[in-house]
Amino acid sequence: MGAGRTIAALGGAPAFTAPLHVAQVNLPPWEDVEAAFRGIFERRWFANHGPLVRDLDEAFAEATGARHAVCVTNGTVALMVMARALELSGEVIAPSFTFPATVQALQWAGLTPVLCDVEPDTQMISTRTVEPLIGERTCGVLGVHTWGRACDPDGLAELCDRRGLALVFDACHGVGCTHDGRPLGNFGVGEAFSFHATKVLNGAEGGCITTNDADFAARLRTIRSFHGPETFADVPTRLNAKMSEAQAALALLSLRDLETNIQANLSRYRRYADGLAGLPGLSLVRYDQREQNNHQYVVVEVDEPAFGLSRDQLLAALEAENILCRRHFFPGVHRARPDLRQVAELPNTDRLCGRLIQLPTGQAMSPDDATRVAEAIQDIHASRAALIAQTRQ
Amino acid sequence: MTGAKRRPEDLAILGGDPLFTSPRPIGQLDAPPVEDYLRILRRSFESRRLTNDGPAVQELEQRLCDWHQVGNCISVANAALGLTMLMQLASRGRPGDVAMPAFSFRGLPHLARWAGQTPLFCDVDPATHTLDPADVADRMTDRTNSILAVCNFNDPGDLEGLGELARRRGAPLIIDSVYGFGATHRGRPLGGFGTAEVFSLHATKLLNGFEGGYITTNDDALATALRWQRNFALPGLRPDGLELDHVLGLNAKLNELHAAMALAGLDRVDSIIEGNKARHQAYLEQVDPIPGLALMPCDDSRDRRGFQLAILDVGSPWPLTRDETLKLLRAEGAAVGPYYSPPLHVADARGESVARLPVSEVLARRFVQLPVGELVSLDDIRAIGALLRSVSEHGDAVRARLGRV
Repeated sequence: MGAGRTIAALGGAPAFTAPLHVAQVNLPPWEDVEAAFRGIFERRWFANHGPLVRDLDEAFAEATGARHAVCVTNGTVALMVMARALELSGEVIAPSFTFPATVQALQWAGLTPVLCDVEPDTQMISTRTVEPLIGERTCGVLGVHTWGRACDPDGLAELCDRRGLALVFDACHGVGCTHDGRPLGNFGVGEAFSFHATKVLNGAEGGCITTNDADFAARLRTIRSFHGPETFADVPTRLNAKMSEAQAALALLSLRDLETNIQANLSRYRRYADGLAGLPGLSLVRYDQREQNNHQYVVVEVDEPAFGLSRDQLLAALEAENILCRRHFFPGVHRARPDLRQVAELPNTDRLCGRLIQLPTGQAMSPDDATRVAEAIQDIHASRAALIAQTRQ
Repeated sequence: MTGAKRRPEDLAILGGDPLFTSPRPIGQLDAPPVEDYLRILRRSFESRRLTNDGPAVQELEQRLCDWHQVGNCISVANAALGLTMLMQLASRGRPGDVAMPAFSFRGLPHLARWAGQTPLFCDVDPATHTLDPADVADRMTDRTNSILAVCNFNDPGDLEGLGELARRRGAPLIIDSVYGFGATHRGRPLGGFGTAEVFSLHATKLLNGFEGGYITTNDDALATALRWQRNFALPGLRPDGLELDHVLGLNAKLNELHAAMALAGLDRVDSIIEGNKARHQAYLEQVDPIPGLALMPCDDSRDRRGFQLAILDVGSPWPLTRDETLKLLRAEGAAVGPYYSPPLHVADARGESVARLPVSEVLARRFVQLPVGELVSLDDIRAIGALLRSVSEHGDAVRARLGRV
């Protein structure tokens, strides 16, 4: 590889013989999984508020430092339950630059999303983008800690306090991340996490809501099931949002291994940072060194004029190398859901949706693999003129 | 288990030792051999696929299509989410209501609200206890976006009458078949009736997948919409040629941990039903001779039944009320519950006045859901029978002493 290599898009051999994916899939050692499942079968307790879910509720509360953690089916269901527990009606301001579930969850809970633009640098909503959208029907703000970087918890809290709005966060990217040294999970009235297999903490599927508000926690726990003994508050609308003992068993093992998995992500991230350094028009999303991040996402922004290729051209060339990247998030929610109210133009969202690319990282990849991906990007950049010529033919 | 209870003071509710030291549940709680489970799970681990249409999910969906003799099976994270998805799709994004039985599972009105709908409670047939098409026809309006019928463990209900009504009024018929698993209707397995049916893979149900569920339908376009909906209705995966603007996506995917469990259990279904039927027969022998008590019949002479539940019908001259009977049995370590009680239109009312649904209101006062499933032995059932006989024989004394407690 390196100088002179013919890239796969121009007929060379692919950089990888088997495809690389954007997915953590951090699997604990099989022996540990097997032992945990033998335990479940011995107890014959498979679902319904079992001991492992109770343990995980406690362990995740401890890991985040939040007073309450309520584990549920998956991250989307966590967002749905959290939105329902607000017991509000009306409009909630949320970013369009997010995964579709952020906005869908509000609608499932009977709330009306109002889509908001993000800041170009943080890629998240801010007091500056939120405040002009606050109207008579606004009841809350749903911030998203995109890539595990905190979504201005202090500024948004001040704004929401001042305007009498509820503030919650989508922390589906945020396991193991901090703001001002404090773990995510402690901001707003509640925060929703994901334990999906593609995330750093793996429960196959799974999610959790954290809160420091005892009343809010009582509502969350009540909404989680239809069970009489699990009724802690008078809530009108409940769900089966229960996590199983199987999911909790896997998530507990993954929580045990969290620091190791974060360190592995960090070492791959550093290889990417080194390997992509100096490439014009390609900037890696940076993480504040004073904060903790799980580094489950390696995101680069492609500036076409400077890089010489568009994001989608780079994506296609990487795919030819068996490097399967993602356009995350694409398109913005406002483009996919024309039925939703969009008060303003969302230029920063549109811009990011056209420029970002997520590179593979996860347990299946070694640090050397990350270096080879970075080299493949260098090679593609070096071959940009030939690539464009080929496209024109 | 403690010995026979011959005197009122032996009853746990009156201070005696409980009959069962560990609770006897009201759910199936079947478990395949752990080795069978681990073998299937390991395949998913080795392919590094724990969700998002993994190998176990794909195999399970295929096998359930065969099992139900239906064109499509869409697995979901649980049956509640499956029902919610169907009600949302049926609404086409319009606010409105869902006609549903008042004598049924307490979660149903909640799910209608998640789907942006209002529950429209209707009465049930006094003989089958299932949704009465005539009552639905009277109550439904132009606002009624779908009909949600529920199969009971002993009777799927008037699926022809409801199907005819649904066609005439242009409302999809969604069937909650959670207790219809293992049953046939007029010789055909459940799964292919109505617009779609929903089954559960919850551990307390006949086929245990920890948590989980699936939707069956012969409507290919609906199946395509459901598969898209359960995976966030991702813009990049939007199917061509269908009107899908109203579809609200979510994550309702079944994971591999759960699908592997259901796969390991699928070959066991016949023997599970045999065990259920034997327990049902034992209850019948114990309960039916006792004056005022009867076991709710479950007839499988013409159609198959899964025998998932055992329901005790409490009436005169049995000396205790239904609720006293519940307390009596709970004190003995039988984790019994009231069957579909209170009725949904009463339970769901939040201050406002509600329609009278006389059949549901009477039925909801009558029944006790008895312990069933793999953790209940025939000896346990005989012990429950002996206890009930003893209470019957000492009816006046038990009544008098309970009154003082």
